[in-house]
Amino acid sequence: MTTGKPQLITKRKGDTLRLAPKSDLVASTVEAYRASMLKAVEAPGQAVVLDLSAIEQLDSLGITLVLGLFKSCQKGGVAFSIEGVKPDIVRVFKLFNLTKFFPVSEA
Amino acid sequence: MSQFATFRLGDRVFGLDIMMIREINRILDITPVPHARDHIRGLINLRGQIVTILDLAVRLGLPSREVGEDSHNIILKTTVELAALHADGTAKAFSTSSDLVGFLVDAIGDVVEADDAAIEPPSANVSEAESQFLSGVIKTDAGLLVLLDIKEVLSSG
Amino acid sequence: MSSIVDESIISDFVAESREHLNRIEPDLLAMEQGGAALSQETLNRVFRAIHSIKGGAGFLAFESLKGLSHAMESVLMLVRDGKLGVGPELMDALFASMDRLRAMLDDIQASDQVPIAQELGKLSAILEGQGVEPGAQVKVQGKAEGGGKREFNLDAQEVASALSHGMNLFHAKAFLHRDIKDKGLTPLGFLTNALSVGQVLDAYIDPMEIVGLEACLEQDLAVTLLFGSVLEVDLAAMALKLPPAQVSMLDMKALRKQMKPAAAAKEVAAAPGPEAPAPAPETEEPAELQAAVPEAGRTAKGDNGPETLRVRVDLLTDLMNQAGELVLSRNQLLRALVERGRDIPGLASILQNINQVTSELQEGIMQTRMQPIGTVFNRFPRIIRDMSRQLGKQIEVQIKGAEVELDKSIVELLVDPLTHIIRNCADHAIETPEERKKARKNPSGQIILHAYHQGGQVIIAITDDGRGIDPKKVLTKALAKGLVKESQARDMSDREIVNLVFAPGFSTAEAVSDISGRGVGMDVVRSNTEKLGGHVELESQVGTGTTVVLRLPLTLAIIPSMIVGVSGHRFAIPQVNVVEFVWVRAAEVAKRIERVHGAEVLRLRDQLLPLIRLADVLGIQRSYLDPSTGERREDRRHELADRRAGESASVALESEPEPEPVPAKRGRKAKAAQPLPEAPPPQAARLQDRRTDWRSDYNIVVLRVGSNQFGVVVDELYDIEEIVVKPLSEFIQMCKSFSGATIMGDGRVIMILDAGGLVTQAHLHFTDLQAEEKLRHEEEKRKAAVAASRRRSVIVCTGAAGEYFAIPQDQILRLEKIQTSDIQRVGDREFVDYRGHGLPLVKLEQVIAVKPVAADLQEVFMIIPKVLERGTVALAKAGIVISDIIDALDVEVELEAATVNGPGILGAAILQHNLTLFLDPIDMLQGAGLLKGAEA
Repeated sequence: MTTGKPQLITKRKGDTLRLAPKSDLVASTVEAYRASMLKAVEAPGQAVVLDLSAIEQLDSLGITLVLGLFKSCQKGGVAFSIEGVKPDIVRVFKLFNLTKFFPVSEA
Repeated sequence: MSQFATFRLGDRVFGLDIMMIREINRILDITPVPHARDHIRGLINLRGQIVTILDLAVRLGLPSREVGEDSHNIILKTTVELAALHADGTAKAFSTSSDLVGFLVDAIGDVVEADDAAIEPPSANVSEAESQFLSGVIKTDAGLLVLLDIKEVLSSG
Repeated sequence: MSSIVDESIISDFVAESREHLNRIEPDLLAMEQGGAALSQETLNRVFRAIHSIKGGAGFLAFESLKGLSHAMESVLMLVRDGKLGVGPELMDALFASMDRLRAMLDDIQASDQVPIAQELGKLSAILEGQGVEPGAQVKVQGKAEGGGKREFNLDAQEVASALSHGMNLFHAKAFLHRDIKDKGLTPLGFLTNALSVGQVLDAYIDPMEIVGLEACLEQDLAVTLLFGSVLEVDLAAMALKLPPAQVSMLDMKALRKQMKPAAAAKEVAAAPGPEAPAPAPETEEPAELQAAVPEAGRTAKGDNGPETLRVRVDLLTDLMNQAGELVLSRNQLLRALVERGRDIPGLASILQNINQVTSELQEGIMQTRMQPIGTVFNRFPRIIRDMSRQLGKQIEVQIKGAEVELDKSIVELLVDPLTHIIRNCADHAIETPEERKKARKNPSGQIILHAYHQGGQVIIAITDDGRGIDPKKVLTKALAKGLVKESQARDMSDREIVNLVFAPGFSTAEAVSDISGRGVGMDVVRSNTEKLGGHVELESQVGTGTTVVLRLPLTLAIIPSMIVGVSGHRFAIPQVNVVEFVWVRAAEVAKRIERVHGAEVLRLRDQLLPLIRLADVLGIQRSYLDPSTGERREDRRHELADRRAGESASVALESEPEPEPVPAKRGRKAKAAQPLPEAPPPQAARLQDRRTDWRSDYNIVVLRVGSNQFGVVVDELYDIEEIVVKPLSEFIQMCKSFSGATIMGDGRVIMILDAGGLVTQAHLHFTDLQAEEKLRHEEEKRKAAVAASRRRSVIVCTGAAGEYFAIPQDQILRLEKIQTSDIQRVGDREFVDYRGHGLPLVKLEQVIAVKPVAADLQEVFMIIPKVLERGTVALAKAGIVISDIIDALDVEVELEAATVNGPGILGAAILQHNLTLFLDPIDMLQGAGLLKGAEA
């Protein structure tokens, strides 16, 4: 489990906004991440990439948050994808048939 | 007309209706069976099937045979096989054994054809012991052919 | 994080997928050859197999496997729908993809590492050529409130399978917060739980319910499941840990009806591309199957066949072995009771019944192990296809009688010999198309695999129309290799000559090919076949072709057996009778083996085992290998005991080490025939007594019949082998020593020994030995008692300086210290006051010839012996005066006659370096006239 303070690394490269949470997306961290994400996507550019390479756990709220981010992007006409995902978490996305909405690439 | 396969034990020549014969071979690697009766020579492996080989000479009261260069086994058809042939009309009604069985003989001779009418009862000049197993004789150009009573030979008596 | 999928689910999937692939391989070959005549049934079978692999791979998230099978499926669908013709390009792509699928299944966890780009490329090219986008899924639609519809991406095969397993299908909704998070579950944990109580056919979260980041965490998203379980709806909800209102059962009746093959006919819609499902508003209405599912036909059809059950093969093997042993026991029982048959009313019919039931039981178990030969045959078309491409030949394979059944173990053991024969056919026998044209043959060669029954055997004939085997070449080679002698060769028929290819070390291939390899000969084919109780023969016509014929038994009555040798003959002993092997070295024979009532016995641990010599029991001339010449010679000695040394065996036995027992374990190599040590020079050998020569070692197999055990002396112990039991013919059935015969790997027939029969034949009488054993046990008990009596607890004391005495403790009532000043003298007797009585004292020197205790001692000790009167301990009678107590000891000594004599002296022994007199105090009191008549 990746613990520690919720910290969202945001990088902008051209039109792409890269969001990398530094700790697990779970009940205890989602509120903080939501706040940081809301701020970050105020100017999303053309594409948002959620980098989950530091994430080992994703609980129900974490999934909800990811889906909220996706929907926000979708509404704004911004491409959304997830990268650096651990195999077990890829499986979560696949099992819930979420990969057809946005690309999920494995670490 | 019947055809008889001829074979030799010592200086005697015997005949056997070829319809009774399954095959003639030289599988002479015969495993003896301790405590079996004297005329049981042993068992051979006939392509995965076990065949009991009788020492026919001993059965006829003659000395046991040494396996030599011309020795052969005559393997008989089983009663089941013969019954099928008989049902087809290809063979007379013969009786052998329900198990695979064969005779060890000294040598194999020609096949002789003879009319059933030419078969005569065994002559008196054979021993008592031997006559028990004979069913008849045929006079041929080559001499007297002695026919065996297979049922008797194979009986446990 | 816990893995969502149970390992066993994955391994089942792999096993099933492999079966699918094996099953459709012949179909693919048929597709390749069939052209226009290709049957719809074949295509459907291939399609279904690939589809079902895709479905499983999809659920288990094996991406590459799913991707490739999906592409294959798309191509196959086009073929099936008549939109795409079968061509070499297509078939190559399919075959190559098949191989990739296999590779992925071989290591499923690493399946994503298997490169599939090339195969996918080929398949995509074909698809693109047809303007088709890949993707085919079957849909179950949930009827929604307000008429909206939500589709499940559902694998119809899975639906069919769930239905055929009697499952109900449920539509379930689980809310991420309420039903998952608040119950301490993770989303994965929820699915894992669902998998443990049923089958998850589909699951999804619909993100469309969410508006955006702002309020997302306040929303409770639903996971929707299509779930199969044998549970009823209430229980299913409980098992899923969901409120009952969120779980509803689909209309099973309607579902089944729509899964029927009739409805399935041709209704597969053109494959839709992947698309986002429409929003699914909450609904408690049952979902229902909308599109008909062609795959369901297979299941429905399969249901008409007999029910089957997967059983572990080792269990069947076990059962078969048990049945084999039961048959042996039955035979023994029948033999034992056959003479009593008339005495006991009804026995004959009971035996008859047992006889029949046992046979039927054995046969039934054999039947469970039967497998069609097709499982082996079907792999050859593919092998030949690949080989013929490699060799530039055209070869067709025909299979006849694939349905002929054989014991599974035979089928398995046939794989290697048949593969070898077939490879030979393709590699050597079938000519190149040019050669064949020149020989006015069809440029395409033929290999026919034909299995059929004949006379209780299964015949497998492998025929090719190739160049045939030239007997002249075979003979030349056989002569060159020394396999036959010229003199033998003259009498050999061509047929006999060509069969020389089965001789060990023979190989006719003139050029070494990378396909058939070098010299892996037909001899291996022969020995493998004969091991199965079969036989192989070959017939060949130069220029016309060759037929190899294998004759095999239908079933195997296999029993593990110990193979032993006596005088050059081998015999098999069923392992069930063998207890252990005992090896007695020649030098120890004399000590191990003794005679009881004229019969020889082996003493093994605390048991006396009657010994029989197998050669004697069977009436085989005993022989031994002459140490000087290595030749087998007649052995004229008739008793094992001839080798005995003069000493009394029973005494010597006690301290002897045990003979060496070797545990009689199945399949283990027992002590094999002795490795030959350096042969001693002939003269030395003659001088050397055979008694100590290793060749005179005894190999004893300990057998058990009922509760009795006995030893069988044999010359050699070979291996334990699985042998095929062949019944005895009527001509030798009266031979009690045998239960059957078998054929060894070298083709020779050997007899199977019957342990019970041996007992009868050898006239073994176990009762005599039991009496003897009892006698010996008593003797041993007595000896033990004597030994125990030698063991004493004694008080060691001194009298005069340097004189030591020992008195058994159990004869002492009290030990008291007394002051010499307290000793009173009355006449010639001395007394001491003891508990208010005057206790008479005995001085040692009064009774025995020892020196008196020093007179100047202040203190002395008195030993008051224990005297019994009428069975109870009497009050103190007298005390024996000693100067000091030295020790209390437990000693085990052999008493020697003491130089000093007198009443009360038991003997003398050295104790702690001192010569010590052992005293009997009662005797001493009597000697001193203080006690009348011994009562102790």
